[in-house]
Amino acid sequence: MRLSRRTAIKGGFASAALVAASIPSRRGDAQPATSRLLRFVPEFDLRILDPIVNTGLVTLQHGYMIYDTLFAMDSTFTPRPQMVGQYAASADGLTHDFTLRDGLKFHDGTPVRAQDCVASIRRWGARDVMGRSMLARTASLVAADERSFRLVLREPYPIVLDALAKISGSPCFIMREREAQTDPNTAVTETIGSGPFRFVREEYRPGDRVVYVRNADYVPRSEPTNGYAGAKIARVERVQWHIIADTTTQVNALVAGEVEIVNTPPLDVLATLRRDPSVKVANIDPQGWMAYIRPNFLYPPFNDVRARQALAYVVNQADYLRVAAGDPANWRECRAFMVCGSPMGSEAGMDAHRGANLERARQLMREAGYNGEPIVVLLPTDNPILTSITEVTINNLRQIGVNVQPAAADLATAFARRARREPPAQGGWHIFHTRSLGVELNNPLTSFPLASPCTRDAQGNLTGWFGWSCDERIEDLRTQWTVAPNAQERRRVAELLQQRAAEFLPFIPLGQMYTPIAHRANVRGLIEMPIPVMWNLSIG
Amino acid sequence: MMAYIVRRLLATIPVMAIVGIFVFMLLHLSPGDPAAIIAGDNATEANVAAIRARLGLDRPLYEQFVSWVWQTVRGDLGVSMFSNLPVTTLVMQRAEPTIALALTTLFVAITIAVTLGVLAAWRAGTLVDRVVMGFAVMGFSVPVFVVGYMLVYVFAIQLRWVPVQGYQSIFDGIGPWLHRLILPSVALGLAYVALIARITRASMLEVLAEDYIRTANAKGVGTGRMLLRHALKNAAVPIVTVIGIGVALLISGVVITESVFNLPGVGRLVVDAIARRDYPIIQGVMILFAGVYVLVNLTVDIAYTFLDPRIRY
Repeated sequence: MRLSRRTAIKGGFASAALVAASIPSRRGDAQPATSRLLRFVPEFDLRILDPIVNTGLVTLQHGYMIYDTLFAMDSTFTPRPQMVGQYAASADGLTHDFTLRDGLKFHDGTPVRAQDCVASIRRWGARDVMGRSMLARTASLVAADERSFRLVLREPYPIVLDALAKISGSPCFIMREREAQTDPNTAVTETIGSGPFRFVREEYRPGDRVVYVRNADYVPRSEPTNGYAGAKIARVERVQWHIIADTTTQVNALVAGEVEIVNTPPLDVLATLRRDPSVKVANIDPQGWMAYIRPNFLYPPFNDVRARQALAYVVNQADYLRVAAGDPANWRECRAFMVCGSPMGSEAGMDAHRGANLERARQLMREAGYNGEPIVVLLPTDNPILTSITEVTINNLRQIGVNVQPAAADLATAFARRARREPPAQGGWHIFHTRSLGVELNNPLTSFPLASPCTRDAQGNLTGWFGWSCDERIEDLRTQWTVAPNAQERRRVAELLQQRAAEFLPFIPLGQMYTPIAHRANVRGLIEMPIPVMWNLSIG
Repeated sequence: MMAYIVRRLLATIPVMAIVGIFVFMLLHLSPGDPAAIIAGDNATEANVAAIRARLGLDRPLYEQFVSWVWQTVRGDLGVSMFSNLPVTTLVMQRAEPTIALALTTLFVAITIAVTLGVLAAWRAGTLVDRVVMGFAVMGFSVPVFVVGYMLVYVFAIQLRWVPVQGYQSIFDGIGPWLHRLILPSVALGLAYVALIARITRASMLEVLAEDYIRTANAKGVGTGRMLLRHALKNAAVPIVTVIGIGVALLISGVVITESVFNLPGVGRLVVDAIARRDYPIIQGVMILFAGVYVLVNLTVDIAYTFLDPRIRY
């Protein structure tokens, strides 16, 4: 058969018409005003499925989707029973009895048992700071029967419920016993929880999409939703996480109605988004993030408190917050080591550091024995917020005559370098900058940069967080706070801790930043708590 | 010919080995610690050390290298340190969007570029020629992401003709598949249009000055037939060479285009892996890219023999 030119042209047109007809007639990917599908853009990709091994925000959000907790914080950060139906503590506060409520089932249909809870608490307690602190005081933790278990403490630990209801870092998520028996440093790859959504493994494509569907077997509590406590009602059938690496594309997708929520829109487009009637911008976390400078306590000059004071004197918080968060609506100055606006938040002892005093800073550096040696500042280049605040410090230090040596690298390299204890000239460092969730820093026990343990490991190294601060007084106050019998006493100790931190300066606060979420105007039911969660949300 | 192909295929083995050694050493000798990233910002050193031990990163480098080589020669590219999924599974999940984008881009670029190049050569020195060459310079000069964002703004946000982002498999229908690939292909293809159009024009100008073209004209051969059958075929060797080189450029362009249009392809997979130091993914994908590039060059070499019967291997 010979193909004529005319036949070929006709065939070409027919094929094109066929293709055109099969292109969706609906414009873009916008969905109707009401829908049972929620499309969410997390800040980063979900790579690690175990919220006990990894404390990143996205893994934490995944944890909240599929797991449930024994207790949960309400909107006033008071722990309330969640999976627990009945709870009783002995008068001396040493014995705690927990009974699970009816109808709790894992996603594989098996009932949640007390044995699952005991194993989950033990694994969580091997990783999480509050868990470790609780288990260190535990005499026994055993299941009494299928639905109840008992925790017996050796000494009082009045924040048992706060620990079990903790929000960030690693919350005490309840897994099946078999997963909970996994080594705490090995990530669990099974994804069976008892939470309001089920993970759809067949549709999980790292770097692209994560899919959850409503857990039809989930029995919500009867109380109304209150913070993370009360009824957890999945009002949508399906939640799709769309992993969009490019922040401009995230915003474009939101504006075009292709996704309903963007967890972390870039701060420089918030003003534009606020003008769009189809989109809303909401700050659901009143404590936001705190940025701070962490000096290295192992080497001069910052092993001398005068050099750390100098560092605090070069800081004018507004300069940092403006470059990092732009619009003043997105930040506030705050010199509280336990975060402004939190129950423990106080700015006591920091009056001298309201605004920069470069002359005093220069004098203190001299007094600390600084004589022009290179000061290595880790400068991450692929994180706009950390890059900008680090550059402000570099500029400020140069103004007081410090010989700054920026160590520019991507975040992964900077992370690796900050773990090195070698002298700064041999691959170590003097200063790095980071930011942490306010909800992580507002508690003296979970605030890792505040912790200043003087304990040493088998090699004789200090065991604290990178920077390795060591202060017996801070540790003593943290212990006092942990065992304080009531909230009033905890606040009193927290005030003393703030004052001691202002003297010792384990880190230099740079202020609080809020990173609002952006969502389509028809999304309802956002829970105003630090970690955005998907239950209670509806569209239309 | 067959002996030549076998020889070339065998030659890929040392090439892949060199790439493998280079990538492995580069990754492991450069700073960055996947264990620290897995453990998170507030991890203690003990946590990080335990994770490093579990991943085998505390073993001597030569041991890690030998074990990786042994795995790779058995066709096992390893397991992602983060998701615990096999690298081959991850690459298979991501291969379709990248292949689709590369092929549609090549199709768009070659179709437009060869047409423009032939047109510019035929009308050399006229306004048409200048417009085509101006367009080519612009295509070269404007970065892919700028073109991408402009196309998104106009066609996805303002006109709402196409989606802003995302990919749909060809198995869900050719229409939705094309619908999502139009903008990325045009954005990525523009640079190749410029490159190929310029080479086509130059090559065609040379051929159009040949005696046999003058003879064909004198014999009254139609313009279309003369340009396409007589001139273009003889001008094709340099064009095919440039297309082959373009595939290497395409691999880097794909990474940016996949990010701008949120296509879950291999390019984004490897960029994400580099940011996190997910060694098995980076090593596996680099080996695959090297293999693809070697095969593309081989295909180009073989194509010469069809275009120019004088070339023999």
